[in-house]
Amino acid sequence: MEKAKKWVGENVVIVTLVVLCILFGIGNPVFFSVKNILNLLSQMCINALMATGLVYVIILGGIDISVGGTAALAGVISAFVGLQFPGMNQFTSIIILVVSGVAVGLVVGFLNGFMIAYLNVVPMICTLAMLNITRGIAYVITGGQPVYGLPDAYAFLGASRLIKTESMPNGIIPVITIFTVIVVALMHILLSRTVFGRHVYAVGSNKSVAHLSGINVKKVTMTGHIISSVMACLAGVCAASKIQNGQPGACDSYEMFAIASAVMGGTSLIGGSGSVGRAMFGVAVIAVIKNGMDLMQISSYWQKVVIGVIILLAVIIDMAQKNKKD
Amino acid sequence: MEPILQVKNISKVFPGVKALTDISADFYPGEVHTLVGENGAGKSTLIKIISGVYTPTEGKVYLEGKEMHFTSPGQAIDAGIAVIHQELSIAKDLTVAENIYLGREPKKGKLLDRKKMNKDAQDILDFMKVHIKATQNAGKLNTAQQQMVEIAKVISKNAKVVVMDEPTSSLSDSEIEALFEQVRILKEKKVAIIYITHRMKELAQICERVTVLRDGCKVDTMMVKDVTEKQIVASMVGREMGDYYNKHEHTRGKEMLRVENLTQKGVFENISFTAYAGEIVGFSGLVGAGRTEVMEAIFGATHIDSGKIYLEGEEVHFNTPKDAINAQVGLVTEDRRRTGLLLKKKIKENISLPSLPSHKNSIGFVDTRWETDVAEEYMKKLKIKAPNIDTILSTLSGGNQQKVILSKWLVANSKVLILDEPTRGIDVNARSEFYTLMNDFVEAGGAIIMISSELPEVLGVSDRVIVMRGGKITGELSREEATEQSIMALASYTSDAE
Repeated sequence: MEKAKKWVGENVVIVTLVVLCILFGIGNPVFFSVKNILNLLSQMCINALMATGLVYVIILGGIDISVGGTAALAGVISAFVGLQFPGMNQFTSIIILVVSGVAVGLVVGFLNGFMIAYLNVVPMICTLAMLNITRGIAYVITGGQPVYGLPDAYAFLGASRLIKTESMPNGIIPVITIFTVIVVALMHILLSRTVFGRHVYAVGSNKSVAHLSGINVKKVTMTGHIISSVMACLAGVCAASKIQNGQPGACDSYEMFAIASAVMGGTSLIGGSGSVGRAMFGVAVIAVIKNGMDLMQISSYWQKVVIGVIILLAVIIDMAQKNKKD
Repeated sequence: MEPILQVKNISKVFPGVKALTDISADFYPGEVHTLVGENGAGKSTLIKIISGVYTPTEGKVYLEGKEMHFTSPGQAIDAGIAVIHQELSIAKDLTVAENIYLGREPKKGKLLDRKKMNKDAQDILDFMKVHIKATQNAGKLNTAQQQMVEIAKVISKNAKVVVMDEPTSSLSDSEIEALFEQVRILKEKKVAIIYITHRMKELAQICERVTVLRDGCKVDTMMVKDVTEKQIVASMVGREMGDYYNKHEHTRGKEMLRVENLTQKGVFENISFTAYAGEIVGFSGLVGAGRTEVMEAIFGATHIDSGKIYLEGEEVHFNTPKDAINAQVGLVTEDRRRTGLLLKKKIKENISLPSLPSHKNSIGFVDTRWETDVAEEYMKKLKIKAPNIDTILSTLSGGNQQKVILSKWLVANSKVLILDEPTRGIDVNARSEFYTLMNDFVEAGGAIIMISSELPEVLGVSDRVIVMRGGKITGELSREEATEQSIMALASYTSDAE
């Protein structure tokens, strides 16, 4: 009993997920249909990619609010690049999307990381400014208009499904899900198994100790921000691919979902602890809530309120557990 | 004389642990009553009950004969019990007067009466004969001065009982004397003082009564004048201590670390010394003499403006701690909680931290087999008391935390170890063990540079003593020459003031 209680305390997010699924399942049988579950798996991918990057910077003791704008910028740039290759096929389209995403991510992440690690700008303010800058640039270069006219192959990563059957002519497994699982798994391993990952935890736990243990704190901090931006950009190109055009207004306020997912998945806002794998449970909770509310036809305005409340609850629970430990 | 504060048959049980068993003690006005005991003996639990942080599981607290039922620290403060914590609670952005009257500001109508507040605060500071201005920013004061502000706060509250938790742990000898002067003033005002310290020599200096705690039980309460330091230590650990420092005769080996004319402008200048294999060099001096700063600069944590560093005869340039670590130099900092340990991480993660880059495979994965093995090996070797290598550091006692830090540098193959106040806040038993580990290290061919502000420790452990004052080395004493007097003559400004 004692053990079970402890497990529940440490795994609130899993319990929440199960409870939500049961509630929505009872409320609407469609929830547990194969079609809806596949939908869910594809809907949560963009947030999963973003939340993965957020886990790195939050463990480092920082934050990255710029991810929504950064993702939109990467999306429109990948659309512009895509227009240059009208003959792309499914394979080359993925390369085009990933390369443009990574390129934008490197630049934005370097700027964020450099200002935060070397010029000591507060992460919250730095990335808030960067959110405006990236979003603004996305609007400037598109003139505020979506980038249309992309070949169908461009949508392969975001919208296609593999293994087509008679009952499911559009295919079963979403390509975006496969892509996300691979990327997230790699990022999970990078954080949990490598020396670099250990250094991320050490810097987030205590910068002085990390520095005096021979760790290049500035470099690790900067790398963390580059990872966050690159992940946001991968999310952004997936979002653009999904709708087959580049929207400068895409991924609006997605930073909130990503931060909420990371925190719900046990990433500590004071830094030093967290895991990509666990953050995925947070991603699932957010996706289930949105999906469930859609099925119950709750207006998207109310959905905003609900998500906000959930973020606050997650942070309150996080803090309560911290206080109990101390 | 009637006791002002009494605790009777106090027991405190936490889930899974009995922290205190049947403790009774009387505290008299105008007396300093010291609680001694090893870390974990129950001293802090007892003062937390007295000051209302914890409620006792059994037993009663009486203040001036009346039974008290404190359920929060605020109630204890209102009743006249003040606590000066080891970590001082000074609001750094406020003035001294604002700190003294925090939460009890004098008012004129609804508004703050700043004039009265400043005047009252200054009166108290003048009465204490300390040179602190009430209108000064408290953040600019040094630790010793901040402590004076805490005492002024206590005086302004007219507290009947004052708890002082290791007030001298970060003070130099002259600052301690100034602090004791204030304690004597409190005594004259008939305040009962409950005092906690690890420094036995302080007992004879200011204490009347001493209560020894061991494993949550009271061993005895004694009058200080009737017992010797040795007897007290023996009752703390439950046995005679023998030679506490375990001093060995060392033979000097080859030159390990030599620094020449090291200077950091405005902090220290022309620092030259050599540390040899097989010896412990003690660095003595008052707090603020620049010893820590010199060591941080050698380790590459801060810069040097000029001067040279040689390791085993070859010149080296440590621009970052990483360079020093790669050259097999280790630094145990003076504040282990702030700069020494990842408190929320596991033992094994702390031990392996500086050595990780040399124990990874080609794609950067941590060699976890090595990490586990090495952590287990050192836990055994250094007798680290913890359930296992996955134990979180913040749950360990100070002595065991310090052993984890030492393990970390031993695993990193350090040849030169710089130890800054290595036994601060550690109990006698753990200290004695730590000295043995230091001896083992130098006897295996390493060199140790030890900064210590405790003269008995410097004298008991060092093969050679270097004394600093005001950022300069003022002298070097051999083991035979070093005495408390000869060191203090070099360390203080009194003998030949500049």
